[in-house]
Amino acid sequence: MLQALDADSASGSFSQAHARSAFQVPERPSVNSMKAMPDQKHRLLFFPPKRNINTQHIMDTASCGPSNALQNLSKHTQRDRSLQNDISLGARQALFASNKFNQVDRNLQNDFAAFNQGQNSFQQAHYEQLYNQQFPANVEQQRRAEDSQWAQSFQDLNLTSQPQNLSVASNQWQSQFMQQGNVQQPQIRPLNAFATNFMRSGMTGNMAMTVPQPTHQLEHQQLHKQEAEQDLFNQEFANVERELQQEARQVDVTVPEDHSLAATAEQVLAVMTGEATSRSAETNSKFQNSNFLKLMQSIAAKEVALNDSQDKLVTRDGTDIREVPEMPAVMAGGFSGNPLTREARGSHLPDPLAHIPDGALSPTYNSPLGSAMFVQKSMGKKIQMQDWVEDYGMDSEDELSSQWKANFDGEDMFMLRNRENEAYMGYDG
Amino acid sequence: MLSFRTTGYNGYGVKYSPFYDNKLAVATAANYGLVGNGRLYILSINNDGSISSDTHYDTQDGLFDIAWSETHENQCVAASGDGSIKLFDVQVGQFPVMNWHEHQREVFSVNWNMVDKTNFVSASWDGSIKIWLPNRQQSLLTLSPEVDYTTMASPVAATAKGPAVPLSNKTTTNTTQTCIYQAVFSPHSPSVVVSAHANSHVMIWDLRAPHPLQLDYVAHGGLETLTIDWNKYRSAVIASSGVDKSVKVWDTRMIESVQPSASAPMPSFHNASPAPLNQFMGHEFAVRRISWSPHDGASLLSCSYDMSCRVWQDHMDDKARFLGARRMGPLQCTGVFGNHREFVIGCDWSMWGEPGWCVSTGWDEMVYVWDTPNKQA
Repeated sequence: MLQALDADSASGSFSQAHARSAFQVPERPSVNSMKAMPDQKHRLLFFPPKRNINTQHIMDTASCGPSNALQNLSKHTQRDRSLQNDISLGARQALFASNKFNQVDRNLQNDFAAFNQGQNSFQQAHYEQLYNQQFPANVEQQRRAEDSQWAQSFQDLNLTSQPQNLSVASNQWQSQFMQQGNVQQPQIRPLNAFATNFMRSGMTGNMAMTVPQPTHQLEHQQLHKQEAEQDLFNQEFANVERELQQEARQVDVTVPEDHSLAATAEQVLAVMTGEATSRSAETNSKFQNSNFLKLMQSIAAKEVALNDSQDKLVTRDGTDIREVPEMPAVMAGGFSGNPLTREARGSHLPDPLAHIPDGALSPTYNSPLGSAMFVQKSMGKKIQMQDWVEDYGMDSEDELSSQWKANFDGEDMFMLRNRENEAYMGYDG
Repeated sequence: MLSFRTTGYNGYGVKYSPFYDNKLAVATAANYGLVGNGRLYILSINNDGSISSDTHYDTQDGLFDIAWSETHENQCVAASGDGSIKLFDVQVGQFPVMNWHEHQREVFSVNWNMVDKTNFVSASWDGSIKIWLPNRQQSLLTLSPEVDYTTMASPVAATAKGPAVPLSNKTTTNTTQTCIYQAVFSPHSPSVVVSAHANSHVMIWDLRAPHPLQLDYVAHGGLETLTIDWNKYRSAVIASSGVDKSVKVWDTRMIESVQPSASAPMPSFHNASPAPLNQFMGHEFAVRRISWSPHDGASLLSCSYDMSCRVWQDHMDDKARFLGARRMGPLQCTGVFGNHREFVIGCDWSMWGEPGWCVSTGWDEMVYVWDTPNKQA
């Protein structure tokens, strides 16, 4: 363990040096202000590699001013993550491309490369160039060796224990850092917090070069998922939009502008007879025989219309439809079948009480009292209060008290009790 | 099952008398209410099981709803298609004893106050609700809600004021956005009214308040709310139904009241529908009228354009309303009454008969008195 720690801290100190060079990018606007800082090590904390990648953060002048750890912590924690989800595809690719140099999982890297090449190779190439400028070859080689070694140990380790090691390492590094006297005392706490926070986000850069891998992987999956969801949403919205437009067109076609009775009747018919499959057969047959719908049909066909004084519906020859004999066809009392049809929907399971004919069960048995009384009647014995209330004064006490007598006779503390029992049972002391 | 045929007139509304166990009033209209006269039938159920017409009143326009007086056993009030409301006395022949004509369009519902018993409420297609006393010439109060133009059932009319941004490119000929289909007094409070609106809203009004509108929400996803009723046993529970074919049971305490204020000017209604306590699915077309049982807080009767009546059991446990184990549609429907051969428009429970008896009427000119199955289930 100690060795592992040593190795970690060694790689840590190396990476600090590495990072120092890495972050001195000429065009970075923060250089001037950063000169005021006592040590370049600061930048490692304040400008993790990710910021290099994410151009938005590079250009963020607020992060380059006279900063302190607390400020950066709050910046880090309060950062609007949605921006990252919204950044262009190119930036995302760059993000993935950076992993290429971690050299941890080649298969994964190949997948990424394939993925990236399929979409935009320019960004990648550009980034490689940028990266190569930043990282001299020999440093990189060294780092690779370190990394692969570290990655090996990382693989051997249990994944869950890994962050612990890292945090210990980081603490160690921090104490080392503190000893150099580069950081003012009040900053200890925020720095510490920041470092842990930093590490959780997988941006420790030096010590945890492998850690970004899984995090990026997750991030990648997340982004991918979000992208897919976005596409799905867009598709759905497009569908709805199309439907609405179609409907609008249909309405335009089917409904004439005038609100005449015929047009209304047509509308009613369309509503009432459409979607016949969504209704039960019974309802459909009723609808087919409906006089109202027949009337609607004849109104729509202009066989029946309002008369001139608008108080009657008349046929073409001017007779009131109420005097036309065939129109009111419902006969009083002319129904068939069970007047109370049970709910037809759902599964048609056999009725478990089918063998009990209707009326065989008296309604009095439906209530708890009714059934209790039925039980009582069928038992043939009157249930009395003694059946459930125990009376300690009666015979059940006999056996118990004689037991007491046998067991505790002669013992003082039970004498009184026994005497009481005897008196109670009518014995004379 | 007993039946009566209102020959030549299509039934719209039916009510049991609150004084007699055998008297019914039926509001009917000729030509399915499209054009023509109306007729009010006063029916008696005889001991031999036949139903006979005591008397009937002819009106100039179709009658769409009926309500018996709670104070006078012979009086009932009827809602007419010409915008008038007429008070009939069974002892006085041929003509109504009172006629109010304030509504501009069809009056679609009348409901007598069951607590106060002195006043009644009417709801009209002109977009207003009016409160009336039977002995006054003018209405006591008019409630007219703001129209919500954002729902599907009430799209922006060409001349109407609408939202600044067009919500849809869909053209439509629907001009019913202001219609109010039903307004019902609470059976628990003398001054609370709930109303069902064509723009899918349900509104609760308190007549005592300076701003009577207390609660306003979209109940049926933008489709027209056709009917509403108060539960007779649970004072905060209402049920509503409409074009979306579902009957929804609401607890008004669970619906947040959104009141506009000067500091936060926002619409006084919910943009999204709140969640109902329970929902009954099963009708195959729009539900036209619902009624909670006067004998059982869980039973609800509904009638629909699918030509059937259904009886539902609301088994939701108030103390465990999110354990929706019994929220199974078919289990909640305890009976279907399918004898009507046209749309069923009106239904009511018998108050003084056996619990579970009810009456329904529809466009097949039939009035059926029947017993609901499994009423103990």
